[in-house]
This record gives sequence, C-alpha cells and structure tokens, in this order.
Amino acid sequence: MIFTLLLLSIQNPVSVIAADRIHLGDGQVLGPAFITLENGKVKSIEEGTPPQGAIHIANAELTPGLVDAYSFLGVNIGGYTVDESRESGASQRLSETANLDHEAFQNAVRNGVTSAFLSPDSANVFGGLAAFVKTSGGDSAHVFQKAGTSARVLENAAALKITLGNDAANGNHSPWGRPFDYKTRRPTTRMGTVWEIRRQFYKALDYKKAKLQGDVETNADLEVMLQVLDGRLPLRVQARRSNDVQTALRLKEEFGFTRMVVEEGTEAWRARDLLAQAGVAVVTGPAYDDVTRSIATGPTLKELRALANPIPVCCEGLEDPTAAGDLTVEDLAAAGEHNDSQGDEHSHGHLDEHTVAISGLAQDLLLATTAPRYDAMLAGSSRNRRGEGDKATPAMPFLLHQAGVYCALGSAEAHDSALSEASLIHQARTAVRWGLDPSLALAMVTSQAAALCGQAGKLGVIAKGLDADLVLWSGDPLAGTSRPLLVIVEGQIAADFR
Amino acid sequence: MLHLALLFATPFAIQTTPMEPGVAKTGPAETTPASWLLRPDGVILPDGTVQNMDVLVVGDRIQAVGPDLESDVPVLRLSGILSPGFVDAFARISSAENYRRTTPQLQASDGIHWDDVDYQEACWKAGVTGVHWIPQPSNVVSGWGTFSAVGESHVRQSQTQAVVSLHPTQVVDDRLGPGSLPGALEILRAALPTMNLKGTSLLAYVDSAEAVRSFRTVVGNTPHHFVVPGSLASFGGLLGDQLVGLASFEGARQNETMIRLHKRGLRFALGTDGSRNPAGMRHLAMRLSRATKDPAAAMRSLTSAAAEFAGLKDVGRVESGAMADLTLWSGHPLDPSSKLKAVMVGGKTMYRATPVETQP
Amino acid sequence: MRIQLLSSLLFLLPASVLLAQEEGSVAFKVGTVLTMDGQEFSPGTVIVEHGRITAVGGGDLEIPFDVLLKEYPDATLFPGFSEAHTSSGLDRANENVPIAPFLNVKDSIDPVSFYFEDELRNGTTAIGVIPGNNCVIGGLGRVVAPAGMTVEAMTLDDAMGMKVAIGPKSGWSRSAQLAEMREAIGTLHKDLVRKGQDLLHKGKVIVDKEKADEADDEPEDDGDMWDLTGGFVRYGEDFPGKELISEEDVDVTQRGLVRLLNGEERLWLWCPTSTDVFHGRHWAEELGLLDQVVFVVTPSAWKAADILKSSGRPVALTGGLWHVENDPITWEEVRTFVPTILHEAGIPFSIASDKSRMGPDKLGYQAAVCVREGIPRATALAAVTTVPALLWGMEDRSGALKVGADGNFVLMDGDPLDIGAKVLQVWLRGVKAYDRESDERLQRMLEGRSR
Repeated sequence: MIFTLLLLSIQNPVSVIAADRIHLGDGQVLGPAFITLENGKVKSIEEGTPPQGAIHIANAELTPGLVDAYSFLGVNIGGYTVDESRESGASQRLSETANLDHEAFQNAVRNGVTSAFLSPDSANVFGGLAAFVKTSGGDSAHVFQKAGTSARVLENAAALKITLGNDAANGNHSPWGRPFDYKTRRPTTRMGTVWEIRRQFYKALDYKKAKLQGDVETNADLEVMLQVLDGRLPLRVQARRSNDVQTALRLKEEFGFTRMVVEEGTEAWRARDLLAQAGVAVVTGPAYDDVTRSIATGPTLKELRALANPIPVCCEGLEDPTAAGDLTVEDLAAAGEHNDSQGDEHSHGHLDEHTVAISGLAQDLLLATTAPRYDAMLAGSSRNRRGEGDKATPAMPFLLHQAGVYCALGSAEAHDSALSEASLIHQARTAVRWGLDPSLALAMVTSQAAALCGQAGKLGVIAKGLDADLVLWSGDPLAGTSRPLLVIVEGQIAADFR
Repeated sequence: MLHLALLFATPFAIQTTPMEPGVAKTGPAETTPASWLLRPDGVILPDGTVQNMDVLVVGDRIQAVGPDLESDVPVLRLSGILSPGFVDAFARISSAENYRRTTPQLQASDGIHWDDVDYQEACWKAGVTGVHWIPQPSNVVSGWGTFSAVGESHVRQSQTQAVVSLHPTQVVDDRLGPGSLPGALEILRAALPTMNLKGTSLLAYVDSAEAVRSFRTVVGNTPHHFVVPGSLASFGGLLGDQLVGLASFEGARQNETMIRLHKRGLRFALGTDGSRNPAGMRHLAMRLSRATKDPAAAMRSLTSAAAEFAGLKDVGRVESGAMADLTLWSGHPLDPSSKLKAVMVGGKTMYRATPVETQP
Repeated sequence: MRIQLLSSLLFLLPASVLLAQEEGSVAFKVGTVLTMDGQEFSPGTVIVEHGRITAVGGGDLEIPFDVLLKEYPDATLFPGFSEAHTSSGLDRANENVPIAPFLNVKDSIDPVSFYFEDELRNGTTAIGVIPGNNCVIGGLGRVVAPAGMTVEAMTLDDAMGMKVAIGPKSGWSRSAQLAEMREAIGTLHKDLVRKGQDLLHKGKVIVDKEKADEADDEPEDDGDMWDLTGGFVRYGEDFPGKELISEEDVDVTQRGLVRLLNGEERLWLWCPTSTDVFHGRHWAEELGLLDQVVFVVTPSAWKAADILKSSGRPVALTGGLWHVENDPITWEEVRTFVPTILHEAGIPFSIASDKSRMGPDKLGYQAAVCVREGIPRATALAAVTTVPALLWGMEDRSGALKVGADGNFVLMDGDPLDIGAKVLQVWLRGVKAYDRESDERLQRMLEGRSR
C-alpha cells in the first residue's frame, strides 16, 4: 500500500482536472466542467464547479490529447528503418526499428500530441508494418533522458504501408555505367512501382491458393499482404500527386481493399470527387501556409532542382552556415540555370554527372540552412517531395471536407525540429484559417485522426472509460495565442508549462 | 626453504638470499613443470581488490591462493603487485569475409598470426597475457571467437563465443544486402535456429536502442553480451547490470555516460577491438577507474570480467585452478606510475622488463 | 459627386499604375481602429487626404465632403505590418565584394518579385530592404511598400541606412572580417591624406581636358576654387588639406564609406551572436558611430542583452524567436524565448518573419507567438509596426495611424493577431493596392481550382 502510494507520487498522476470549456473531440463542447481520472482512465465527466484540489486555471480549455494520424516520429529519412535491399519488406516492423527515444516525441508531447501513427519511410514500395504509439510513458533507453519520456508501442502492426510515386524508385538504377548493387533493379519509374505492387499482391493471391492446396513454406511478407486483402489489416497508401491518388483508387478497385487510407495526398484536392465516390479517407501531410507553394505559383522545378543541386554562387565557399541563410530562391534559381539535370523522373536530390560539383558537405549545409529539414519553399528536398505534388493548397482539408471526403490531419516530420510551428495544432489552425470549420478542425486532429489509425472509440475523445489523454490549453486551442499548459498521457503529467 | 634458483630458470627478479658462490642449484628439470610459491606485496583477486596473498603455481596452473601458504616449492619474494594478466576481451583478426551474408563456420582461430612477435611483445609490455580473437564483425553472423595466450603457439580454446552484429555500418552490404537494421534482423532471425551455440554466448555489436530492443526480441533467452561503442548514451539505459564489451570512450559526455551507467551496475569488459593497441586497455581502465572512482571494478574489467565476456573460466583470475597467466607490477596496475616488471604465461616467464640501472 | 465618380473610375485602373503618381484621399469607418499610437477606437474612423492621414478618431468623426467614404462596420483597420530588415525582393542578397558601400538596393529590387505580392496579400505595408549579411559593408537599403511597378514608385524612404556586418562573411573568420574593415578604413584614410596633400600643393584638379586647355598657364591657386565644395570629410583627426576634399574628389567606391564614417548613415550592424554584439559595439564606439547603430541580431545574441541594453540602441531580431541549445553532457534542451529577454531588459526590438523552420512564419503569426509566450500584446504589436518605423527613423510617417503619417493601412476581418483573420484590403498612400476579392491566386487556392 505504501509502496503503491510512493509509486504514484513519483509518477505524478492527476486526479481531477477542470476547465471552462472542454472539447470532447467529437464536436461537443462542455463547460464549465471537470474530469475525474482513475488508473489512467477517465472515470467521469461532470459539469459544474470542481471539487477541492482539482487542477483549474482560469480561461483554460481542455481537449483530448491530439492524435497524429501520419507521422515520422523517430523514423529517420531513407533506408534506416526500411531495408532497401528489396522493395517488398512487407513484414518488417517499424516498431522494432523506430527510435522510440527520439527527441521528436518530446517535441510532439510539448505540442499536445499524445499518440501517434508511425508510418514507415517511403524508401521502399512496401514499407512494412506501421506502428501506433503513445508519445510518452515508455522506458527510456537514453542515459540522460528523464525516465518514462520515451514513446511506448501500442500496436506493432497498425497498417501495411505502400508508396506510390517517385520516392521508392529513387535510387534504383539500370546496370549501365554504374557498379552493380542491390539497387540495380526495377522499379525506376512510377509505373514500375505500381507494377511491383500488383506483382506482390498477385503473388499473395497465388500463395493463398497454394496454401489451401497443400504444404507451402510460410512467407512472412505474403502473409501480411493476405491480411490486407482479407481486410484484417488496414492499408496506408502514400500518394502525393493527383495521378497517384487516382492510381490508389484503381488499385483499390482491382484488389478490393476495404481499409485503404491515402497518406499525404498533397494534390488529393484535385481528385476529391473521386475520393468521395470511392469512400476513401485521406490523412494529409503538413500544410503549406505559404502561397509560394500553392497552385498559383511556387518554385519552379528548375528552382527546386537548383535548391538541391546548387553550384557555388560566387567564388567564396559556402562552408559557413551562418551566411548561407540569405540566399533566396531567386539566387539559387539563377545558379540552377547552369544545372543540366536530366529531367523530372531522374532529379532525385543527389548530384548527377552534369552538375558542377559542390562538395557534399557544402550542399548539405546549404540545404540545412536554407531549409532545415523542411521549409515551405523547399518542401521537396525533405523526403523527396520535390517534383511530387508541388501543387498544394493549404485549403485542402476544407476542400476535401466540402467534397465529402473523411479527413484527418498529420504532421509528418514536423516534430523533428525543436522549433517547429507545424505541429498538429498548427495544422488545425492553418486549416481553420483557410476555411475549415473550427470544430471540424479539432475533430480532424482528435477523433477523426484516431479513427483513421484504427483507434475509433479508444482514443481521440474524452469519454468515460477511455484513456485519460488530455491537453489543457491557455485559451482557445485554435487561437494562435494559445499554448499547452498541461499534457497528460494516461493520467500522468507528461509536460507541464503552467 | 629457499631454493637458490638459477637466473635463467627464475621467473622474476628475486633473491632475498644471496647465491652461494660455487653452489649452483638448478631449478626443476625442464621436462617437469616448475613450481613456485610467489609471495608478492599484494595480489589482485578476482573481485578486483588487492590483498596480501601468496600464490602457489604448479606447472601451468595456480594451485592455491591464500595468506601465508606452506609449501616445499621455492618461495619467490616479489617486490610489487601480482595481477592476473589482462585479458583482451575482444580483438579482431585482420581479415574480413564479405562474400556471404552470414559466415557461421568461420573461426577466428584459423586467422591468428602465430609468428607476429611484435604484437606479442606489445601485449606483454601492456600487461596483456591473453587475447580473445574474434572474426571481423562484418556480417550479421560473423563466426566464432577463439582464445590464445600471448606467447603460446597453440589455441587454448577454440569456439569461445559466436559473434553477431546489428551495427548497420558494419553489416550493410551494397550488393547482397542487408541495407539496414531491419534487414539484419531478418537475417539474424533466420540464422539463429541453425546455429549450435553449445552453451556459449552471443557477442553482439550494437549501436542504438533499436538494435538492443529488437535483438532482445529476436534472441529471447539466448545468453548474450553486447559490444558497445563509447557513445552508448542513447541506449545505455536499456542495459541494466549486464556485462558489455567496451574498447574506447572519449569526451566529457561519454565520460559522464560511463559514470551513470556504472552507478546502474553496468559491467565492462575491455578489449582492443580493431585498434591492435593493447596498451590502450590499461589506459582505458585507468580512465574508467578515475571516472567511476571504483578501481576494483576497473581491474575486473581488465581481468575477470573480460574473461567472462569471452566465456572463459580459467583465465583472468588469481585463484585455485586458474591458468598461471600473471603479471608483476611495481605498484597497483592502475597507477600510471606503476611499471610492468615481468610477465608469466602458463607458468613460464615470457617477458621481463629491463631493470633500471641505479647509482652505485 | 463628380469627384466621387472620378475616384471610382480611378479604382478601375490597376493600382500599380496609380501608385506611380497617385496620392489618394479616402475615409474609412470601421468596427475597430488600432492606431498603434496608444489609442483604439471602436467604432473608428481614419481620414486620408492626398496620401497622408489627416484625422483619426471615433465613429462620430466628421468626414470632409470631397473624400470618398468606405464603411466596414465589422472590420478592423490597422497600420499594417512592417518588416524591419530583409534582403528578400532583391535579385541577389549580396555582391561578392566584401567592402561595397557603393551598392544600393534600388538597383536590385525586383518590383515584380512574388515576394512583394505575397507580402501585400499578408498585410505588410512597409518593408526595409537592405543587402544581405554575407558582406563586410554591404550597401545602402531603402524602405519600400510592396506595391508599385518601379522601385521609385515603391519607395517610402531611401535613407534606410548602410549594411555593415560584424558577423563574418561566409568562409571568413571573425578576425579576417574586422581586419578587412580596418584595412578599408585605413586605405581610405591614406587616400584621403594623399588627396588632401594633392589639393593643397598641386592646386586645382583637372577634371577634363577642355578646362585644362582653358586654364591659365600660371600655377593655380586651388584654395579659393574648392572652398565652396570642400569639407566632405568630417570625421577623424585633421590632416593637411582635409577641408578641401569634396565629394567628387573621393573615389566613387569610397564615398559611401566617408559618409558612413561621418556619421551620416544609419548603420544596420549584423551581429548574429553575442560575441558579435560585443565586437560590434566596441567597433562602433571606437569610431564614434554608436548613435547610428541598429543591432541586427539572431536569437543566440540574447546572452548579450546587457551589452545591448547599455548601448541604448534598438534591436532588429531576425532568424527566429527561440534560441535552443543543448547541454554538452546531458543534451538537455535549454530553450530561451528571446523577445522575453529583450522586453524585460527594456530594449526596443522588432521581430521578423522566419523561414528557418516549419510552419507559418509571417509577421502577424510571429507577433501572435510572442503573445502566446507571455509578451504583452502592445509590445508584440509594436515589434511589427512602430518599432520598425523607429529603426528606420520614420516614426512620424510609418507604423502608426496618426495625423501626418502616410496613408498606409490594412483592413482585416479580425484582430491582426488572430490566426483566422483575413486581410481584406491594403491601402497605400490613400490608394487601394490590394483587394482580397480580386486576388485571383488566392481565390484559386480557396476554391480548389487548377486554372
């Protein structure tokens, strides 16, 4: 008994929390009301004055902990968590290779995100099994990290991820003029990627038949695909361009996927009617609140290529990162005019033979400073978005909703940087700015997001019996002047900014 | 009972009684094993502490350890501290086999250079008497380690532990795969059931929390020790009080990491890994001792823990039944001013430091 | 009536053509007027005549008969955001040459650049465009409005000042940076001394052959000839002939440096880190130029807050609002919100839009972040309105809606710090420069049209 009490006091649990407004996550707003917590779950929600000892801050508003339906938390770019030696690694589990102690999880918690869908990287056609985690509460592997601040895996196999478009084909090459390695293979194009997907799913169907007929050696990858075909496992399809979105819909029709969700969908708004007809939901990537990246205009492909393959703009070196931040797109576009890249399909962010060499270090520094990890203008250099769906509009959640498409917002790699202002709540705020109804915006980062992660009815809403994942905001959560005051994960305070 | 021993047969610089002129008494014949009762100022015991003990060496083994032993073998009063010879817990043989993804048949014993006298001398001078050779960890399953004593021309124990690696930079292969950790895990999963470990442990190279966690998922209860880099802050919290192999650490942050991990009970076994610098082991132990303020633990990391890491029970310890691989130091081995005086391997003197000339 | 008709006809023409010559008159009656001058009117009225504000007041303010009245009872009117210091909108931020006091952004500003269109769309009414940081002396800047077909039409003030960088140029070390500066000043001094001697001893400088031919054969006495135009050099110790030197005598690449040293140019001193602040202040004091200085800093300079405070000079904060560093051993993150430090030290500071990280970054958003982190609303708004005007030396013309100021303002459908508030119209010098309803690009995005 005493030991239990001690344990509780060390872990810092909450018992009652009150707020002037409580957003339940499904559109309903209560208030003033208070929530009683017990054993990490919501015990009751009652309106009126809270009892003594309740946490109560004036003007504060409570929401469910935000659910990030599409994130790369702890997932390094490229082939670290997916094995690129073969394109179909359907049975590889992200939960085994994601870095659960990554500081991105702490950044996410700081912004009110309490649970997240970790999507495998798009380096492979079949990226493997996605994971679903709580962003706090796991045993920390890091010697210097506070105990219990790592992520904790809830689902090892939350969905199978496939990637359409250029990303997976990136790096694959023909045998001509290059040393032979495991990337000397197809696909090298978008249609090759789809061929690989079809091929594997037909192999799975054959495997199913063979199993029924007799003894057949278990193939872990094909087993996973069978689960998808049977509807036992959801399918996440990363599709940025509108033609990729249409391809996803075609695949759905061909194989009869019942639980398919489009991820990122940068140009999904262009195919919104088709998506609505097919009843396919979309989890969007981070929005660009910058007209530069809109359909109206934006860096041309030439500029984007130049940004990733710049030549030194002047005689002085570009080694010093502090000064490079002044280079504008115009600078680099001018430099890019000297670039002689081969064409859209092959401009992959690495130096090709025709580019005037700039040291790899200088290029990295340039990219790192002009666009650390992710920048509205350069949002192609990170995770190969370049040339893929540069026709974005921040009004997408609004447009999708208007067309009748079920939608959730995701942050992708927004939490990798400590200074990010692109976290989920900012996505919701941006969506409201571009026309989305505020209560819907909140739902898209709570209940609807949870639904698209297979957690409907379990997370993303404040309800009796559900996990006590809550965020207390200093004001209206959708106001730019509000910040999280308390972030609670399963009844424990994960972040305290009071 | 002081036998006068001829200089050639005498292991250490001794003689508490002067040699009687004209009386030359040979030691035991070379065909029969020599026996000595060693009486140093102090002995490093398997727990790493220094105690006043006598050590009875019969042939190539230690027969007894205790205070004031009685025996009719010659007593050698030694000035200095007797330590077990350091065990290099993991030293890579030079060649790497890269043509396959797993090489479970590969044995390090086949790759030892027996005629490398320079390296032998370097080991002796560094106080190292035994080396646990391992294959280069360039494959997910790299092969078997082997143990030999420095100066002996035969393997003391072959197939000590099996070496695996989940270190992406080591195992990634552009042609054969794997491309990264998940691929390596698949290979390990497939290979593990086919390996006959015969009660040995796996030595696993890891560099991240993901590698540690997923390795544990794959191997389950199979005994294993991790080989860790100095930069293990990111996953050290998972290691608890295990025994891990360490070859280097530097910088304030890594120093602080060692201190914290030591507090949590983590045990180290020191090795040279790929550095081929045996002298570095003692320096590493000195730094560990200074950081953690636990010289006994540091001594263990050079001796008994290192032997345990290699799966050896009869080296690295001054205790009855252990091999007589001993080193004599002018002071505590972790004291930087201490000098190595002599090295005994398997009961035979292998190395003696040139005595310093003093003013007459 | 006739005038109203004429005015409405004028509004059919592209605003950019108008701006070249036009200074309009208009009156606005709106739901709220945020003057940034310490007052708020709800409802409020602003009257602009011939491009300047002539009256600001409540809903009952009398409108002159010949001024067009526009009423928006639900809207908010405020001076618009000001970007204190940027090198966007230029063809290229810096020239290769480290010492370039002869460069002027007027030769590089691209009025058609998308940057200006987007700034206008976001409610920015004044932008201080100046050469970038990759220099030692970068050149002269100017304050422009983000609308106009020519640089002249855009210009609000051409005396913004000179860019000087203490933080080293890319690839350079700190000592090399200051050495280059000293060398330039030293060379200038040598040249001026030589010039002074020339003028003193050799007399009139022959400016063209004709004059030389016309000249008398007798040796010239220069003194009287050049007295009228001499005295260009007004800094430093005296040397023989100093007072005779005129602007034309000084090499064209060095004239800007003379003016700078004379104390005639505002100095935008790029001091990104706290070390640079220390060196920059020292450098400026040595030359007696501290009173001209505006410190352009990044968040890492917060550690030099006391140096900034004691210098008494204002600060332009660029490159973000947060400073993050990791403890070298534990890697624990230490985050500092820099505006709080500056605010508590009582240092006037402006903030900037920030492309160095993900997420919205425009000035209004940045100001909202300041409020979010505890900065008083008035300070946050000042950092994007009145303080930039202070930095530019344009307090009476820009940044606040007061009598005599330029007729530049923005109409929004909500509070400027409200992330959901939209910019409805932007007026520059009393002429409409932007209207959301006719913003084709924006409408296409909102409606999801490809074309």
